[in-house]
Amino acid sequence: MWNDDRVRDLLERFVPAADEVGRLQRGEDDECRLFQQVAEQGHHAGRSQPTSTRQGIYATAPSGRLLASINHNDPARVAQMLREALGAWRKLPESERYLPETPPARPANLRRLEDRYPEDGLALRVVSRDLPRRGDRGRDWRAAAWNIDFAWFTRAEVESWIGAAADAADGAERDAAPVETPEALIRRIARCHLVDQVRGQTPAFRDEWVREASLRLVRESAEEDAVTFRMAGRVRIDGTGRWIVEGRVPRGAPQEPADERLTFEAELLGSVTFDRATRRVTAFELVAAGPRSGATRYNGRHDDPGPAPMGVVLTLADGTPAERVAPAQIWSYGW
Amino acid sequence: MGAAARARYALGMRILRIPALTLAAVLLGAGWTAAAADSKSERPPVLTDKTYESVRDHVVPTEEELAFRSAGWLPSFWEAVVRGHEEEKPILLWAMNGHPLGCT
Repeated sequence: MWNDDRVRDLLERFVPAADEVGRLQRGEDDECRLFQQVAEQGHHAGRSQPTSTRQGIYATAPSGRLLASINHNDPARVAQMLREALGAWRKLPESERYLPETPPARPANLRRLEDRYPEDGLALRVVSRDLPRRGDRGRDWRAAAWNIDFAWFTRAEVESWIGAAADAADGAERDAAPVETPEALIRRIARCHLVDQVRGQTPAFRDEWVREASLRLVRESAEEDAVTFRMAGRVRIDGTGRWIVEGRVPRGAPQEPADERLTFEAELLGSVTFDRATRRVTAFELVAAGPRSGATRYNGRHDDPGPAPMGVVLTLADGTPAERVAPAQIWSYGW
Repeated sequence: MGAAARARYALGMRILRIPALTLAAVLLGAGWTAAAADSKSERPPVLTDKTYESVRDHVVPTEEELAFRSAGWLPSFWEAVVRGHEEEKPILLWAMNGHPLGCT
């Protein structure tokens, strides 16, 4: 939708922003309050059924005065909404366009998950996608679906993992002993980042569903302060829970929670480079691939429970604002 | 995200896309034959040094898939409110369950 020329041309006349709606519609800080003011003038105003979500696309004056809104991904409809919004903006008196006071760069009461971004630790980009398989997967968006998330590690966690491996390798002869990733970290990677969110959000796996999780670092090379390790390991998830799977029954029909089994058996391979002088990870790439099965409430697998192969790739996040978004599963980190 | 940043991103992601059919051929050649959901007799998939690059390159998004980010999305509503005042422009907020620049 956003790549459509009609939409892109119009979008240049706005300040574009993206944000997570759950916090905005429930929070109590200045940012959330202003959003709630906008949303209650919009397409989902007052709605509580089938859900109370306020997700969608909102065109608003900086004052919080709604110009237009829609919850759709059809480029023609979105472009039409943007044109209507620009028309409303032109008609809006200057006095109603802006907040009475110039907004501070950051309200004193603002609390965001991005505040926990590990400046001196490690931030990874996590991309997941189905791998090729036999059979027809359909021709809609789901056939090529992919999703992006982020994984964060504090400096202390990096030190306990890659830093410790680098220190162990320091001074060792060629055959430095392999170093295992701390169990808590590889289990967290498995629980939170090797989930099936190719088509949509899913909760973290429960810890007891992680039947096997290992990631071994073997020194591959050392050049001055930079030490590079090969990473290899394995993860096996197998657990059963009880929940509703959206889409399994026709819309409007009664839905009852049912037992659902989730599995993912993945081999892990990759490499990481650590600079012993700066104590920073300077390169990171980890690939996980294997068969997954099962469906969760919103992950869109109601008609594709598998088993079928899925791949996940973790690489360094680039540090731009778009890549400082908090991990979807940060609530399961135990931080 | 500007053009330079996009270029950095693309470089960082090592965008070397190959057609899915090519990857399928590599995987099948390497013994990756459990892809079929309807065949219980097939062996489990194996990620090896031989299949590594193909799998990685299949998973990472293409520049085209990431093009939506080039609009320069600010990652929070409040930042847009501040910028809207500075630039005297209306705001376009894309608000989803799950951050639209992350996992939705």
